[in-house]
Amino acid sequence: MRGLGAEVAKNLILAGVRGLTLLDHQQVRGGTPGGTVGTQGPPEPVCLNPMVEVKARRGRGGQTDPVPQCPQVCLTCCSKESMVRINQICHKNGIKFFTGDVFGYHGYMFADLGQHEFVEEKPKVAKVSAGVEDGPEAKRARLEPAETTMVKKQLQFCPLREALAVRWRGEEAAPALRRTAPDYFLLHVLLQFRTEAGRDPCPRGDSDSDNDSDNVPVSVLLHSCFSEMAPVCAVVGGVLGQEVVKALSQRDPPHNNFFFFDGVRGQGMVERLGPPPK
Amino acid sequence: MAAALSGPLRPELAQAVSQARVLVVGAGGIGCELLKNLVLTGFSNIYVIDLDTIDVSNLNRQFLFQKKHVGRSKSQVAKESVLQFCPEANIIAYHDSIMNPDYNVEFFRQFTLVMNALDNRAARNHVNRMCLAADIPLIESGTAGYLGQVTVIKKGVTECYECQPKPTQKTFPGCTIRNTPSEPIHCIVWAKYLFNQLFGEEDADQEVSPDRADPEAAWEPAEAEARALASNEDGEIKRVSTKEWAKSTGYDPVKLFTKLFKDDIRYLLTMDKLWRKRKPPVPLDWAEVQKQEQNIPDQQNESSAVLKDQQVLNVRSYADLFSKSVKTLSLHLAEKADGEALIWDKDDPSAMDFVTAAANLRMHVFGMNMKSRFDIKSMAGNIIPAIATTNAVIAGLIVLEGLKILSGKIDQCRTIFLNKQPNPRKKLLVPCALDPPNPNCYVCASKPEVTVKLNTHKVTVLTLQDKILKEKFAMVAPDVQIEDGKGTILISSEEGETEANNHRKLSDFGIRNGSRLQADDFLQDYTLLINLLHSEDLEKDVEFEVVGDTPERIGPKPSEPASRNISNGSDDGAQPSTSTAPEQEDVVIVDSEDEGTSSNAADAESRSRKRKLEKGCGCGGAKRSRAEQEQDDLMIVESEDEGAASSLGEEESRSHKRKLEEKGCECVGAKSVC
Ligand SMILES: [Zn+2]
Repeated sequence: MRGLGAEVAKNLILAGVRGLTLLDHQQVRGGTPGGTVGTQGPPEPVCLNPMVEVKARRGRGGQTDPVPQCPQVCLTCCSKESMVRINQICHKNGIKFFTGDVFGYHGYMFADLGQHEFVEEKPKVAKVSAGVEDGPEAKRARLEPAETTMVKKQLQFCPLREALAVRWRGEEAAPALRRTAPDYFLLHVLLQFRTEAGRDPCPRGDSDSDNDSDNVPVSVLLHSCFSEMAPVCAVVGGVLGQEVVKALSQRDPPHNNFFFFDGVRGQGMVERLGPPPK
Repeated sequence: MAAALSGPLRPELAQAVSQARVLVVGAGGIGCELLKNLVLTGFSNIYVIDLDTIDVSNLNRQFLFQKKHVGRSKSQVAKESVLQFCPEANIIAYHDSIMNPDYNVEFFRQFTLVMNALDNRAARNHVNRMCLAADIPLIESGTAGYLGQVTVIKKGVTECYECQPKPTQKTFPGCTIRNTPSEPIHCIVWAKYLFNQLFGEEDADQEVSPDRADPEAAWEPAEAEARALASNEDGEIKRVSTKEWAKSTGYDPVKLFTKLFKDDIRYLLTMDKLWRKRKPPVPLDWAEVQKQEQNIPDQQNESSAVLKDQQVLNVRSYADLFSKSVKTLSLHLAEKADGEALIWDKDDPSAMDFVTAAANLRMHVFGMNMKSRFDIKSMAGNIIPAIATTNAVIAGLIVLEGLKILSGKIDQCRTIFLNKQPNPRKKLLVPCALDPPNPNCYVCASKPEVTVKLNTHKVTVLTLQDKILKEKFAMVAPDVQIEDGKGTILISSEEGETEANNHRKLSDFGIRNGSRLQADDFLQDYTLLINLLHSEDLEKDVEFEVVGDTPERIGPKPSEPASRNISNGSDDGAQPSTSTAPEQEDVVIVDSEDEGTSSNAADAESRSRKRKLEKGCGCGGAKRSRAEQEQDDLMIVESEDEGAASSLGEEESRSHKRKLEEKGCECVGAKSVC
């Protein structure tokens, strides 16, 4: 039972996303829960099966379709290798890609929206000249409901593989290293563990203790990285769900490209990691 | 599931969680998410209370409710839904108001932890006091649009909910909008909804007709539930017919006017419980209104569109504007393809005319002073919808703070703000150290005291009771005696004892400048000493002002006196012209960085940088962006501290003591406990 996927699914259903295909390892659940009326029951296990999902996306619907069949893919709790592979396919085919995971008190999401276009509401600039600020006229002018206009913008995202391949050695990387959320490095460790051990770390199993002490900075992780914590799923699932809705509606700047949540500190960071934008 | 419950938590914490007894106040947008998170985290003794019944409009945010539940008690259905996926949880549901005297200090003492998932100030204030009285930790939360906030309140350790002055309430329960508007903004929200009901996309969230299920209209919640069920049966039909009916009349302005401002108001008057302590509305008759003279536009100002917008016209003129704008908008609608709707836009003159006219007519019906088109435009532009994912994030954060409290680590608790966009320090979720109690707080100080400025010849005992003690100071059933050496009882909470005093002026009882009153609320275990200052030069429509005397307060410009006033009366938070009441702005102090408990020097430095923003409330695009512009000045001086600056709506830096003029956005939250 994986909570993050269920959270995302619930949020998308509440947001009125019309077509949502939930894929579990073997069995397909869900279908097209439509409309804005939430009929979602208890959280359900969701894990998008990479193979099925990707194949289904290849013959993508035309641009004229207002609700394209499968414009987005969202993975939870997959191995690094599957994520990278699916992301590559999505990237090539212009499919918006999301992935996310929760490890105990820590969680993250990653988005690759390719070349993403969106609109943002901006005020028409009407600054009050300095010097007359104290008069009642000035006050009124400032408080007048600002005229806003919708500005079209673009953002270039990079694939997960590049985002994970950032080099941290060398002098020039040092300042960036200090400023980057520690959760980014934690993610590397946990994904590596998943690849090597074929599972996530767990607090009991004796066999883990060796592995953990080898690979995981114990002081940071002790009892804070095991299995999915429901409230952390709620936070990451909320942010991830909102990002999917944002990407669909093409309104407002998306988080480019990582969101890291540290439930111990209650802190959520948005990091852009990867090669410098062209 | 069982494995998931015990997996992530340390065994001691898992045990504390399973043994904790928690109270969730409110089963609405945040409450539903919170209940789910609690059981999935392993909490198994959960009490939940909500006064409301489920409305169709709740279904798109409150995932524990389904269409078949409409009309039933929120708390009860929430319990049933949670039990379906976690049958072993022990949940006790109350369909009641938390302000009911049954829930006394003893009731609160049984809990390990109280969590608020409320949408209104009055109940938040009350629960704050009950938790202080019972000395139980409280987790407070709020959302507005994309913005949200969670904080922890512990007696003697942290600020209480009322330590810092709050702006007038920014979220409105549905029944306030539909039945009992008390401020202009309520009428403006209603008028905007009405626009959508008539010409735009119909939205079940935006119902405008009288709400028969208003829990306040019936003393017995069971009665309210029955009403809700009944109203839902015909409610569905009604909802479809608002637009259909208007169409069938050919958008006849007189018929619309008569339904909205006469028939519906008459219907509201039949819900007589609503009007026992409120001024009842007065229906408007089209023919009567037409007998009035029309406003003659001020010739001098005709050239200036801005000044014209700032005039307040009379009822006749607004009735005519209503009629004219209905005709124009129905023509616009007719030009649209079948099924297409108009979209409300404050910059569309006829849409703005319509909202100005309808809002003002409703303000007039409910005995409020009408507002200029200019004021209404600025207020209508800032109404923020509730967003489900914001509630989801906030409900997750509430549980995480709860876990810290249960681990005995209240020192690690934080106020956490959810921004719409990451701040320049890349933070989307910003943890901030909790502030210690404000020693001058009129609620949690050891001897709460406050100074109120009013005109003793004008203010009646009833005004003192309803507007000052109940509304402003959030008492439920105050007893008041005059500190005149004789202990004269001015107000008694016992029915019938002091009603005769109600309409007499304070000066009739010898109250004058410098008089002191002692107000007690037995239920809240709260005593407030009130120093009165007699004043004859309060602003028009302002019945009283609370004189703030907290020197630590952040915000005033250096040139301003340390004391600040909180105005009341016609203040609505977005009125640009009330220059004497700019104080509404800020409420909560936000530390830009949290690492307050760390010994690191850099952290200590960051701790000193304080800022604030509105409690659980932010501003829409336009306002936010303006705040960004203003913030530019700050960034130059304190380049390291751009912090939350540009992404938080209202805030300022303590070191600059610079005041942002923008404030008072309005948000419409999920309908809940009224
Ligand atoms: Zn206090």
